[in-house]
Amino acid sequence: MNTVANDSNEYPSQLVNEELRNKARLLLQVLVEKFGGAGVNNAVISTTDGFDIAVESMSKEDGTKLSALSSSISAIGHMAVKEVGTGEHHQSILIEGENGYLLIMDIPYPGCPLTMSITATKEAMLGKLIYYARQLVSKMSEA
Amino acid sequence: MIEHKILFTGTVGAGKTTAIQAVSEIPTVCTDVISSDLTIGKKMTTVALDYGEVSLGQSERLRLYGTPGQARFSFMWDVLAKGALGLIILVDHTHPDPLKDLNLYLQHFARLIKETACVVAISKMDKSRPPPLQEFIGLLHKNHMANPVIAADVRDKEQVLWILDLLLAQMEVRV
Repeated sequence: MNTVANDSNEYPSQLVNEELRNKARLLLQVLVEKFGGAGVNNAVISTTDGFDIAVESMSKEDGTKLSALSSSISAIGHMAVKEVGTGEHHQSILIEGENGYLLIMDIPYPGCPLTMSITATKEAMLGKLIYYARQLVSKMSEA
Repeated sequence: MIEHKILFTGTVGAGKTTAIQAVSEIPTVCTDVISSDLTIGKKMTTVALDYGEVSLGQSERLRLYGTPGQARFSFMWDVLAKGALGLIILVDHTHPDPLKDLNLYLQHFARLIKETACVVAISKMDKSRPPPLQEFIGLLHKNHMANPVIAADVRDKEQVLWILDLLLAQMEVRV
């Protein structure tokens, strides 16, 4: 049997309240603003089962699609990390295309693990992107 | 050793992960996460894939893949269907409209069903509740498909092996 740590008996949907959504929305706004339109296009924070809770600079429809996609990739990442013995959870996954990046990060929010996905063009400085993304993850992980 | 890739799909909560765990000879690989969707009535749900293996005699081994159930993961259905030689569709009989559920998978996997083999297994079936098995068979006929439709408890290893036997029988007829 598989296990995912969840000490709480609550369903995560009860934890996904307006306060959490607002916090996620605000942090995504701050991140996108750091780049002032240069390179970072879209960002979404979702539950690990693929429902968006905050969407930035993209349509709700695209955010929903990216959430489902990222939840699958993220789950495969967690599985891979365990299989090769490099940890229990992946912290980040970077997918590089010809024209840009998709960065996926795990947010270990207590009782309700989340996933963040950011798409960026090659204009974006990757180091800067990862730096601010990690900052967001650590702020978002605080209950 | 002949290896076949078999795909399990079907409604959320129908027992795809359970079926693969019931027969697999290796520890299964699974991508269950906590479900935040109260409507599906369970705490964990598969978001990418399940994987298990079972050998049949000395000469055949089946690689079993399971898909997520929800249509929002349909991109995974297509990824996992590549190279599959047979499809098992599990339908949860306790859902409000299991015929509509089945139809979704019949439509999406129509090509795979026609080109390879398929078994439809109805799980959690209470025979006193509609729709009866005959209506599921009727739905296949309407789609010009004549694959076996059975009721099964996928927690039971023997019953899952029986489903796999039904699938392999069709594959042998085609060869």
